[in-house]
Amino acid sequence: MTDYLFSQRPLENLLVLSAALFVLGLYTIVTRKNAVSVLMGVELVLNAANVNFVAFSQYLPGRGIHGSMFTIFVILLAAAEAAVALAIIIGIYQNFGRVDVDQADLMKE
Amino acid sequence: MPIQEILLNIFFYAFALVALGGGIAVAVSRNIVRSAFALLAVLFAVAAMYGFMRADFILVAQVLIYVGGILVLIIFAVMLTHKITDVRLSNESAPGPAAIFACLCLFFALAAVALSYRWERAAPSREATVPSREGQPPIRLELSMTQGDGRTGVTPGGTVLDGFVRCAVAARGQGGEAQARFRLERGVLKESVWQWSEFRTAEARFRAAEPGTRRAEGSFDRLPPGPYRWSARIEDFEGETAWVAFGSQGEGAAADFVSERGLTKSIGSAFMGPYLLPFELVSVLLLAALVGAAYLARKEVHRQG
Amino acid sequence: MFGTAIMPVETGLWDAVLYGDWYVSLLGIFIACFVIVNFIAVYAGVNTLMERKIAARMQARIGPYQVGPHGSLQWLADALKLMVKEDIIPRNADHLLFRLAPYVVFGGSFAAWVALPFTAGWSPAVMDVGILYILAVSSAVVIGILMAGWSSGSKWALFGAMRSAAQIVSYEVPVGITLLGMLLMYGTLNMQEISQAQETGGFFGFLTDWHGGIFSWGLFRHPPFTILAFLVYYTAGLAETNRTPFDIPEAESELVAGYHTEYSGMRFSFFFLAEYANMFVVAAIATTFFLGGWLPPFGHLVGRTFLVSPLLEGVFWFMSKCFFLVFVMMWLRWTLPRYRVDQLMDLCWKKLTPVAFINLMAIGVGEFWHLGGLMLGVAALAALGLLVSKEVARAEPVIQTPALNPKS
Repeated sequence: MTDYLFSQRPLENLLVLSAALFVLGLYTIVTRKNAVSVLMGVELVLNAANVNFVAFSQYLPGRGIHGSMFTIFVILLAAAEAAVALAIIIGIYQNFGRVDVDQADLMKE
Repeated sequence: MPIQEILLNIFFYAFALVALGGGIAVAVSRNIVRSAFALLAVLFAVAAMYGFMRADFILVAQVLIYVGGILVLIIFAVMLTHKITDVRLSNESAPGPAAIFACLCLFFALAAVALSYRWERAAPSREATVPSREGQPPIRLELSMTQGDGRTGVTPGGTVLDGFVRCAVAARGQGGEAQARFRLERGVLKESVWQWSEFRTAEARFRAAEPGTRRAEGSFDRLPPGPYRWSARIEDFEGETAWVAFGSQGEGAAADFVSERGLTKSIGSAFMGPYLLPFELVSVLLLAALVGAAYLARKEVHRQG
Repeated sequence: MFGTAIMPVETGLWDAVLYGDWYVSLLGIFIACFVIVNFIAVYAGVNTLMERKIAARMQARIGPYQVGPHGSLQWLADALKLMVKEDIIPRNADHLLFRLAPYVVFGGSFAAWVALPFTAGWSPAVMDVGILYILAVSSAVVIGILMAGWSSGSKWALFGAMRSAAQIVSYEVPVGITLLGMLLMYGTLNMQEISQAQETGGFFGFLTDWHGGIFSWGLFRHPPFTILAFLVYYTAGLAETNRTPFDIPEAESELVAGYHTEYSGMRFSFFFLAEYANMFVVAAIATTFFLGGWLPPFGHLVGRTFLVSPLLEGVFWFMSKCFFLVFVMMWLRWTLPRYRVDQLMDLCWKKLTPVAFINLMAIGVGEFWHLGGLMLGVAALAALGLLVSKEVARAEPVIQTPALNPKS
């Protein structure tokens, strides 16, 4: 049991946690109908990836800070992505009156 | 286990539970605003994870951008796209056994990989040989560094975060009682030449790691930021060996490791150095996203005639 | 990464707990938190009394007078009243979030206090990312306000919360850009080092080793840009605390009381504490960045006769500057009328943000090329003078109203 405590195996623990967050985000994306909820799932997935990047950067020897740098870029791009996605969602709401992802299929008809 | 380790574990598992609980609430809550506020818990817990990893700048960036920017945007979008006078906003989801099964499989696959792979933890070590004393075989030494509480190896010339480093020496072919002495030198730039002077020393007894090898670890904490070099020697009842340096010696020699407080400084110089082009590109992209979002979200203006 | 009150600055918080004397470190953390929470409570109480007295003075009234000599214990009575008042939760509310929201708001403003540089070399936590940390944890306040407004199940509260969030998020832009310009001069995010950096230097970076006292402060480093930056920061900071003239989220004539309409008793008082705590944080950041932090106006910290030690003297100067800025906030509240929503956004995006960008550029130029900064400064002063003289020439003559004279 003591083998699995954080202070002995920090990298493994963080990887398992980020795997759990990733899977929860994926589940949110797959099952939700509301577009804003889907976006929340995407944020969970991005957070999971960020935890991985920083964990590898900090706990594997000799990797420098490239993982941390990548995390900062991911956070910045997540901000841009959220802004554009929410603008699109509001546009969908103005056109359809709701934001369910399976309703916005005007192009199909 | 010392009480400090227990404390660290308690904090880690508490924050991990918050992250997991928040994630589950985001995934299954039937109320979309509660989902959004559960995301707040996840974001703060992930920030705490960055704290455990000693990535202070990323912790702050996470809270500043995710909580102060993205989460506020998300909550605004929720409120703008629903009839919000009702407190209980429904949030349909279509959970199927297939989705749950697939996600569980994926989780176990990822966790199995993370737990079963032998992640490389030690950094390359330096080997050295101490000349033999009368009638004894030469001692082969192996010098290595780990940072913090010994979790991660430090490569020669690498950085040590928050001034805590553990130096280790392993001696093969050394018999009897002995102890190791570690010497740390700190570098100061004088007239564009590094001047090294003794900073601290530490002692440690040898312990048997595996048959034929004995290992001693000396730790130095609260090191001020700056470059350091270190060396070790073995002392027993017959006398002592010469100092064996981890890196190269001499006036112009490079540092064995650099102590830094937090990540801020190295991230700043990386942005202005190797990452300059991506940094500029991201700023252009952010501007484009700003203009695009404003264009998409604006009200349609219908001109008459 | 973090230093604590008791451990040296070089030590990380985790290292202090893990490798130092862990009980001493933990005890230090608890004591620091305990002292700060109590200080916020007492400070907010005294400030309410101060605010009421100042309001009364400005409106030619007496103000609270009954409890204690000249009403000086009124704040204790108020606190007691808030504590024993019934805690009402509306039936329409989302109970969990309704209960949680005040703590999120208060937690956000409390966490910012931890990094303030109260005196030379001493903060509850010395962080390398100091100012970024303060700006980051303050964003929890926005989330808490949204939480409160939404969970109340009342449209007044919801509108107030949305207005407040839009206002705070918008005004973070000029605040961030202004502070960025100042950070160019100091070259560090650490609040202690920023204070220390203002002991020497001054005048467009020409005088690097000059102990200029008040003229070495950030305020006078690159006149007039740093002075403009101070005004921009102070205005935007005032807007971030949701106070008059920017109290649109709580506009009582439109929204009853904004996001805390449905709150009462102890939960309401948490919003109240958070508001006053936020005022102090804004004043403390302004003090640290522009007014030299704990540095005295002239000379060094030496521990004057009435202040025993240099440490206490640092506390004295820091607190005096902060309280002066807080007083100015109260003064403005009872002097200026409220902005409209469109005027508020106009001020933020069309006036403060461009000025903040100009300041950033000018300070950057001045730090890189001192002579260029000087020329820019002179040009800006000339332009300002021209603008003011034109405005004065164009302005209509002020109509003199006869002063109210009770004797006549």
